[in-house]
Amino acid sequence: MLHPRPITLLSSGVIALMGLFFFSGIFSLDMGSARNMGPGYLPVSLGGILLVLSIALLLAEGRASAGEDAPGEKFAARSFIAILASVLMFALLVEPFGLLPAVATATLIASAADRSTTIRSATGTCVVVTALCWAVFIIGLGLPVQAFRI
Amino acid sequence: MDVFSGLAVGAEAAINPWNILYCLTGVTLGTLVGVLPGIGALAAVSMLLPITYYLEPLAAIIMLAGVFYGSEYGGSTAAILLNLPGTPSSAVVCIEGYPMTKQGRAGVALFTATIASFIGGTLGIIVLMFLSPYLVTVALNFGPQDYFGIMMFGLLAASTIGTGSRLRSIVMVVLGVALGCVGMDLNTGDTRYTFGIPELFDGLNLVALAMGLYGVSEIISSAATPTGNRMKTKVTFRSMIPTRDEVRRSALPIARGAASGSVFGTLPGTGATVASLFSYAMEKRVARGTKPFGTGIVEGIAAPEAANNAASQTAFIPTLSLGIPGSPTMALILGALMLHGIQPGPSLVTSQPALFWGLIVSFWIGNLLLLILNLPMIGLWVRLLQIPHHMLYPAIIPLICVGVYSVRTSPFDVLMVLAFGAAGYLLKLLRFEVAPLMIGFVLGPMIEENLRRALRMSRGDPIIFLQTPVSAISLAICAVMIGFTIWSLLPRKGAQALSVGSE
Repeated sequence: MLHPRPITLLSSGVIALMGLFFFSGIFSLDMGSARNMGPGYLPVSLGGILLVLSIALLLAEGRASAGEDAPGEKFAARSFIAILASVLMFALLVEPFGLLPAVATATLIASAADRSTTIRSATGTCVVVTALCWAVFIIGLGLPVQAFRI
Repeated sequence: MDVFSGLAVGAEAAINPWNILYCLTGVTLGTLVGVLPGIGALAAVSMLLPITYYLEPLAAIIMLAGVFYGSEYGGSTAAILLNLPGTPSSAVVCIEGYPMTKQGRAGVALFTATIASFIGGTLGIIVLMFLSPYLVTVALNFGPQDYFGIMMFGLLAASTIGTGSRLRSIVMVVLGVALGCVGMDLNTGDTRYTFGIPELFDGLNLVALAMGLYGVSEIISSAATPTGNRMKTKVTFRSMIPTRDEVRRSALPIARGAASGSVFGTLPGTGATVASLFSYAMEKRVARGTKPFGTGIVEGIAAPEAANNAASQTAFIPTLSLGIPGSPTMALILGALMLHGIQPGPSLVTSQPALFWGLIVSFWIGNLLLLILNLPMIGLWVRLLQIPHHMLYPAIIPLICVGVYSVRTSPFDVLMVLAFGAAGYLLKLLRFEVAPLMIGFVLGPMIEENLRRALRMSRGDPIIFLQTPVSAISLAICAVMIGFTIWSLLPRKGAQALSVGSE
């Protein structure tokens, strides 16, 4: 009867988890009444709705007859790791070392996302971007951030 | 205030060197992101949000709006030259535009697209000018239950965005509203879902959410995709002039496109993409030309381009006159207004006439600037499309980081971008359309407030929602939409959940 594909199962599970998360507010938030809605009224209800929707998703897509599957996007691991590492490095470096080192590092790491990038072009991009950030953000916009902190 | 005195006020506010400069910046950036496949107006607006902190509200919105409607000009460039749409709404232009390029007539295609965009945009502005003030007078009589009804309709309409299943889009909208509840509740001072982290007391950072969920996740997808064919076409100005016959044949499609675009732009949930798809389909049915569609016919470019530009202008109607965003990008622009302390809604037109009319005047200026940017300067964009992917995307990531960081000088916000970027990408892999989430996020707090007020007024009695026409009708439409969605999901042979094109 129900033959859910892995994506449907995962999707439903993720939504159910989020539903549970918001629903758990019922333990800590004041719900109030319909007449006088408390802070918990809406989010907890939404959590409940998400739980219901996760089941609906399972039912709607879980039937063997529920349409053919177009091949979905594949997980681009290299890109995923490179881009996210790049953002992480920026967050970690910007306060101890300043804006420009953070930008330079982030650019270099992000360049790794595309397999075909050469070291030379990555360095080139890095230099251009760092110079651009310096010109636009520090000089042009006068952002209150440290450019360089040794 | 009637239209002409309004325009006078607006002209005074908008026509000064700085605002024109911001307008130019906005439309140029808009064209740029429109031309580049992979980055869209949504990502660009979210990247510019932090910069607009330092600007006056009018200047900020002029610039962001310029990005929004500017991107509808640029989207067709890559579609025509590379068979790669620069924006979702220009996907349909590939069908007629690319064959024309192969025939060596890329210039004519680009010219037609630009002129059609200009006329469509102009007509859209006219609709905006006359319809908005009227809608405002109607809306001043609204009570909280009416706002609730319309916003609910807006939310459900948001779920029709995207080509995926409607059920999944509804899930995203609901999730967006729930995420909007994170932070301190203004009524009681209780913190919700913050885990004691002080940076979350103001709620999730809109800019970090937008940039992460849309910008970073999109880059993760695009950076991995191999670059399309490198383009070798040269486009000269002279090669752009169409034949007289083509001009004659484009006139009616442009008119029809602008009309349907105006309608779709005004309705929440539908926008430029729906408009362009619809008008192309309409042209196919109505056409009496000699050549078949798909071989490079100007009508097939003129109509969708007029439609998507008209839609992008009229999209401001619900946003400015009712405070209800019709699309995720509009939601961001609305968010920008709120960040500047301006409360959008019917009172906006009367309490901030300079802002409202100034913006409209800036639309006129912007469209003229875009005409210049896209005709004589087309070579610039053509050359841009020749920069390889792997140099472009690593440049954008640090720009996003700096942008988000600069809002509160907070590395935490950058970590939020990371979290939302990862989440956005994973959601996309799971086949969720992430765009509707934004509308839920921006509308959520307002919906909660109106719901609370309405129920307080009626002392908990839900009948209040049926007592005024606007509320009753909106909620009735919502009920019909939900019913329809449920019906189409029930087991029935051949039934698929219906959905409309993406925004």
